[in-house]
Amino acid sequence: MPSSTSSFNVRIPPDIRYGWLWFLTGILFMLMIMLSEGLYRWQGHLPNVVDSKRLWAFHRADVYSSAWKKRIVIAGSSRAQLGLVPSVIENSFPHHAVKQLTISGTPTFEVVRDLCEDPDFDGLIIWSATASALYPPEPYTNRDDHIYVQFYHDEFRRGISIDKNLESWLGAYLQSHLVTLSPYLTLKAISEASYRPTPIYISMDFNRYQSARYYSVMTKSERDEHRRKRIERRSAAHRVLDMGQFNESIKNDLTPLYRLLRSRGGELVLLRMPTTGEHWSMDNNSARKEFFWDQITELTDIPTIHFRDYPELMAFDCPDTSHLDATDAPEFTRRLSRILKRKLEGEKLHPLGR
Amino acid sequence: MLFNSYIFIIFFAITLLLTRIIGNWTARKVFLLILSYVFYAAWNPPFVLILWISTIVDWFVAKWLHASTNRHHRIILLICSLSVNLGMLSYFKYGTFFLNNINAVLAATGVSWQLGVMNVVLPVGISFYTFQTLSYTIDVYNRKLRPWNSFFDYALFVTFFPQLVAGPIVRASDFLPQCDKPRMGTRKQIGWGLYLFVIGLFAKMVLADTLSAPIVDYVFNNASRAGFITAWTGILAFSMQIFYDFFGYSTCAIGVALCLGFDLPDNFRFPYAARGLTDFWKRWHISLSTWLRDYLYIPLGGNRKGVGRTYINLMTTMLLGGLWHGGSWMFVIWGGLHGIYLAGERMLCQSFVSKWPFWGKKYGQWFLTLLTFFLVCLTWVFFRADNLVSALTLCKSMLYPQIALSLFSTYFDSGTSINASGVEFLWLGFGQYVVVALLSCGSILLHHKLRDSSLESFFGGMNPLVRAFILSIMMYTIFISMTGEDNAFIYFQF
Repeated sequence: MPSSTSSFNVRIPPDIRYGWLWFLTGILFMLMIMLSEGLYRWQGHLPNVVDSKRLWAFHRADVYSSAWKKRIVIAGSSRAQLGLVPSVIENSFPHHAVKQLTISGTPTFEVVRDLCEDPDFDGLIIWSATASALYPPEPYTNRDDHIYVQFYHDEFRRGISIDKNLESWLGAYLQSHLVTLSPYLTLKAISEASYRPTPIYISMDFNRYQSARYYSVMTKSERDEHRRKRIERRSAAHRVLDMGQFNESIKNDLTPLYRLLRSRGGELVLLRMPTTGEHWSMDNNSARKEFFWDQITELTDIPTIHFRDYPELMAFDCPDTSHLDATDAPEFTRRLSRILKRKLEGEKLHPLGR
Repeated sequence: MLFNSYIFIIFFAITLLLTRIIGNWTARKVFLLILSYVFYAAWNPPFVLILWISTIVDWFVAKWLHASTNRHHRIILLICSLSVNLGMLSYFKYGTFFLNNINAVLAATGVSWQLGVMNVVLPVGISFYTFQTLSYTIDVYNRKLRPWNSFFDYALFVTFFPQLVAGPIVRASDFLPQCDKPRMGTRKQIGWGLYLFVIGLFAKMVLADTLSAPIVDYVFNNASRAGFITAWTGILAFSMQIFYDFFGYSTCAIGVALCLGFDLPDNFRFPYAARGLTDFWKRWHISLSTWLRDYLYIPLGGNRKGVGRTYINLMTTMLLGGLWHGGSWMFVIWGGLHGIYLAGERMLCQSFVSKWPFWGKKYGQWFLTLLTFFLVCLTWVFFRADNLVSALTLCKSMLYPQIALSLFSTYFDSGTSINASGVEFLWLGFGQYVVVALLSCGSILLHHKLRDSSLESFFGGMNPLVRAFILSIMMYTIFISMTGEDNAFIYFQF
């Protein structure tokens, strides 16, 4: 019986001119890619990278200063991922490379702990956190930070599934350049959506910065709905923090880690990113700024930046009450970088400021 | 390393380029061997050791087997090889299964003491390369093959990356002679090999992963709520998913090997056009079915030791063939059902039924094709379901159309899909029913059309422009199916 699939026993179709076939196929394939790229971009889609713990681990592995570049690491949750633009920070701090180690939905205490305890890390950590995120464990969020840190140490660094890690890196790189490869425009996504895919308001770059286009992509009613859901989620998670526990944690958990980092020449800055409207009210009700955040400087010597203390940082509106729009993020980052520089310089805390 | 990854495409491009630069044939083979280890180590480096153990043990055992004329000595050597290879396979693949069953028996007999649970990572492809090395040793034991004179050739036979992790299971007598003379993919071999690679990726990424898998997962995860139509849609989707997934891998493997100048054996010959279960097993996972035939069924006595023994041998072979897929009773049941089908078919073929002129007619052959497909689909339920309860529930839904009728009447009468007991029936999107119907019917028709033909003649006879257009469409859909997620081939777990 003849074979169906292989050349086994004979057979390669004899009458095909393979050079011509592959040349023609290449041209048609490129045309299809160009057509879909043009069409999707015209519809308002942007290149979008799939976030994964493998991609995160690649950035985690690159936090070590070299002779040419020092490192600044951004830790925190989605507020920092959407609000702090790495390229803007790099412009403000020449000879520094910025690594985004934020994890959406997670305050990343474990990430900060891991960096502080890493004997080879001597960079600057900008940790975007709320008062409730500053001590482990935070009961009302699903914390994934330990999973990321564990993956980095147990699998990534040991070279397990190195092919998948490289695949993730390469896939992300291509996704950051081609709209056609956006996770929202894959064949599966299109077939599941079963209608013409509309642009997604959020997109991620290769450096893990996410831009949120609330104003240019969402309609007003979609924005209102989004805002309503955000407030609902915040309300559901509302709780009043225990001040004693907070103070204990700052002194016993965070301060020793900070001292360890500083002993190697590293630095940590605590940053409170903006929330607005009802969201800020609820945040402040659960942990009043003057009783919690402002106490940090009394309890420890870790430098802090709270958006409410700087009028230039308060001037931004969060469309969903919790995250900055992509049009505001660069300016916010620029202003923050200036403040950061002043702070580090004034307090002579880090080589950046000296 | 997965074929459906950017990394593999880069790896393969480098391999292809460097094998063409290296002029010396021995150096090229050693280079291919090293790359094959890199390919395997990319998943989990320490597991290369197991591959080495299997390779080295069988290499020396085969040498000694050939040199020895003492029967007892030879049997001991064969047992050594079987113990090492099957021992490793049993430990990694069936350890947990055995422990769970012993614990279940202990619990059932009222013993409160339980054995500890194993936490073992299954080395990828262990079932495939174990069967390859065993076939070499057994062939040498049976004096059908002389031990090969080059260790590197032999190691390449075990490790050759296109077929290392999911087959086809290659025989030493097919592969090793290819190592004798210098080989390098010709222009035509590379051209057609790449074409096969694209066909394989299209089958895997588009037909299996994108069109079938989401429906399969949804139906099997909600098996208790599936009615007649949805249950059939789910199982038809799975019959497509499992075929295109494994056919995809085999076709990629054959294509990649062809680009490097090597021929690998067929693994599929349009199985959904089979007319009867015996025919099905000549078309489905051919390298495994022929392995089981040659190294298990025939050594057990085959059909040479009487009627009763033939059926026992058939059942034993199919049960073990089922177990080969993994440590689960569901695979054993799947194998058992195929054993029953084969035994039943054998009985019918020996009775007056086989002499009916009906079978020679076109509609008789279609009837056989559809009946075979129906019976195979029933076995896929057990292959895919997580447990027996879920499998039986789905079978019940598939075999009792009155459930569907009552569901339909309920749905259309009241506009709801909740039955009298308050259970909400499972519905898929209209488009998903259409996709599965089109894919299943299209595949059966295509298999039927190409039943006695080949992909080569199918594509070879096409208009060049149409051929290039189809190829570019396949490449584009593959490109936009790259999700960045881990979509391993189903047969990697076996």
